[in-house]
Amino acid sequence: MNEYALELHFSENLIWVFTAFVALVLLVLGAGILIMMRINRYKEEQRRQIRAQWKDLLAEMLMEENVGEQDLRLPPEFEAALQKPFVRRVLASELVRTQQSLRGNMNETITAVYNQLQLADQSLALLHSRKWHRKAKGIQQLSSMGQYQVAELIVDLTNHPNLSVRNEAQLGMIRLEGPDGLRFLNSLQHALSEWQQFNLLHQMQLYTGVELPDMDGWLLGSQQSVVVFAIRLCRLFQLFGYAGQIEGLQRHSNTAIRREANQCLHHWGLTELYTEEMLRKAMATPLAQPLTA
Amino acid sequence: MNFWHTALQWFSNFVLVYSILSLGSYLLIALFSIRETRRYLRKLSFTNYRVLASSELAPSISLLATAYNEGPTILDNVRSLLSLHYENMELIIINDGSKDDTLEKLIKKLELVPDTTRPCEGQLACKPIKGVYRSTNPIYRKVVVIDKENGGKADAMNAGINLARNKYIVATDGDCILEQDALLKMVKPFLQSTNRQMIATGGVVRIINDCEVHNGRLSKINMPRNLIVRTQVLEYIRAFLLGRMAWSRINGLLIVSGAFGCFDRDVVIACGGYQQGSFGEDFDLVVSMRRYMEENGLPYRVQYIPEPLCWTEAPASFKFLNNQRNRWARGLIQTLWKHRKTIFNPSYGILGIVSIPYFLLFEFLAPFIEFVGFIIFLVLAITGMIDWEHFLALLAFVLGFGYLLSFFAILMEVSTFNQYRNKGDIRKLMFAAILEPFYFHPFVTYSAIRGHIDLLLKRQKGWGEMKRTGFKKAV
Repeated sequence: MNEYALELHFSENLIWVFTAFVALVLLVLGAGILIMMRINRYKEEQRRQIRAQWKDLLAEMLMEENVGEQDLRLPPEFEAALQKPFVRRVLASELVRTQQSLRGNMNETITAVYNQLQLADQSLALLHSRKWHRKAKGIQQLSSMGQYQVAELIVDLTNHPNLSVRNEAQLGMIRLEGPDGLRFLNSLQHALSEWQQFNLLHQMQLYTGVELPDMDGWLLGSQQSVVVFAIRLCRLFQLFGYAGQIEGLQRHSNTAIRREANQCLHHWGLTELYTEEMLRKAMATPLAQPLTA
Repeated sequence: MNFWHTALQWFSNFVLVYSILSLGSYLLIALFSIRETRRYLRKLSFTNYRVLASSELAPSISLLATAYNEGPTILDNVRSLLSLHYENMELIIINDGSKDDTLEKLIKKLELVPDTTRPCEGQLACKPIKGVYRSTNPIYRKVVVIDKENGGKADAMNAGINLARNKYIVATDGDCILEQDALLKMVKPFLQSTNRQMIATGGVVRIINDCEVHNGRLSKINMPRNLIVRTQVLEYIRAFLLGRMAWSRINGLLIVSGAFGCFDRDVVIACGGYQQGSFGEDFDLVVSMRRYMEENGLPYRVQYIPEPLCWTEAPASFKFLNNQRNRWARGLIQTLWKHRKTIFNPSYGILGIVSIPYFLLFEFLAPFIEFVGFIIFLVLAITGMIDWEHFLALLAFVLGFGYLLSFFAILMEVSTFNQYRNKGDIRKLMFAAILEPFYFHPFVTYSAIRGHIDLLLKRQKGWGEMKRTGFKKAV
């Protein structure tokens, strides 16, 4: 019985040690919550101020329409605040956000602001960061702000092992070079997800009316996601000249390609919509024969 | 006496091992969740969802919402769902045999006419469809209304799935408020997955009681004044922020909330759709879909989105809370029983080895173990067999650990989405966390046990009503 009591006493002490540890962690957590709330409130206020000042500046620029780099006058308190890295980070993100929602001359003005405030140095530092999210942020900022000199750096990142980095790099290439930026497709090592294709096509919509590079290489290439993407590009830009190649792709061994090719031709009114079974059967038929329902 | 002493010691040892496993799993899940949530937040900053959602290139989705006797709120609900940022969407409202003027209101306001282009039959069994309507007004071109005989929520959802025209279906409750860019965020994982088929995605559901709603949109987030609701806010934060993200990481997620979930229509149909008569139809659907994929050897994923995308009303009284938890408990046992073949079955992968056993051991058994432990404690206390010092040490530890998880969840909330920004909100939440073990937890444990007993005794409990107080309208 003594042994049992000793055992119980030992386990009780052990539990109190654990409890004390848990209490200590609880105190740290409680303090963490309060500190985090303060930090959030401070950052929120800072962000609000920067956004408000940026909005005023933007409104002023909209009134004057063509503000060049030389004409940009920043309020002194804004200029002083810009010495802080946090403020510069917020402003750079704000510029990118505005850029995404505006079109035309205003974009050039925003780029001018970005250049004048020398935010590119900060974005370049992000681009060279080893952390994936910073690298991707850097790509986004530099490409949105038309920093053409970094195109070769960015094209190297279109095959980056991190999904977010390579997605941003691919989008960045289109932002910088337009349809010519699609050259990254020639050396693509990873499949383009449906999401990325949607993003790229959305970006490409800005260039309707601009001549696209030759699509044959992509349509007849071995990277299946690139073939699907190329068909979608043809459909989006109404490139009827590639109808022959796309017709042939209805007999491709890959299901997604067959379906996409058929949908594209159907969209153009050149064929009817086939079921998967019909498309599979068509695989066995020689290329010269047209598909029949 | 010797027998009882040995039995008690065995039980104590069992509870100790169970508790260590349980506490350990909570810690592991919490740690997993932090990493994943941070990753998600970082990725989130690169995409402008609003711009993309309005693109005509966005994938087409069918948004399904059921309505039963929702005459007073149905038009507000439809307006709210139509205000979502998404171009390629069809909104299917399923009137599940309402006895009030739900359908009449819809027909009049949305200028509906019968639509004969949609076949009324489909692959999933459901009660007969009386009519399908579409609007003649271009403003409501996205709306389709199905009028059918009453069959319950699962039946109504099956009818909607039958008539949906798109590959991706999003299921929601008519009275939920969705975030503006919620739909694209839910569909994104389906489009992003290249090597495994995404079969379902679920988002964080938050509590809307006392929040302000303007034109069908959430305009101000307030901490609920009612303590029961406030404790549920904490409970939801803990479950969604700490729990589900970790399950998603190991591809073991079993619950996609019925209030807001996105599914691959083909897989839903292949596994038989929503289970009629189930009290946990959302839980059952995900398990059925996973089972179908496992049995057919198809690689798949179920993903969770850690962002608050859907806001719903929570029960504000013990009566309605009891109804809800009673139903959840019945749903859990029904689903576990239906899929008992998968339990500890390695051919079902993570589903059979980790997820289902976890739900069996820590969700289903937990209320019973707590209840038995409490009874034993009472007996020992009455017979004077309690070593009070030992008891106090254990009580302090268990309470402390519970607080630790709650405080950790609050810290996660503050450092990630930080939804409650009014002065004093977080302190109120911390206060609710301190009170929770003394009134809320015992009550929900009681409700769960009652639910199991009701099911066992085949008591006709039905769905369990919940009185809705409606949203606070912003001025």
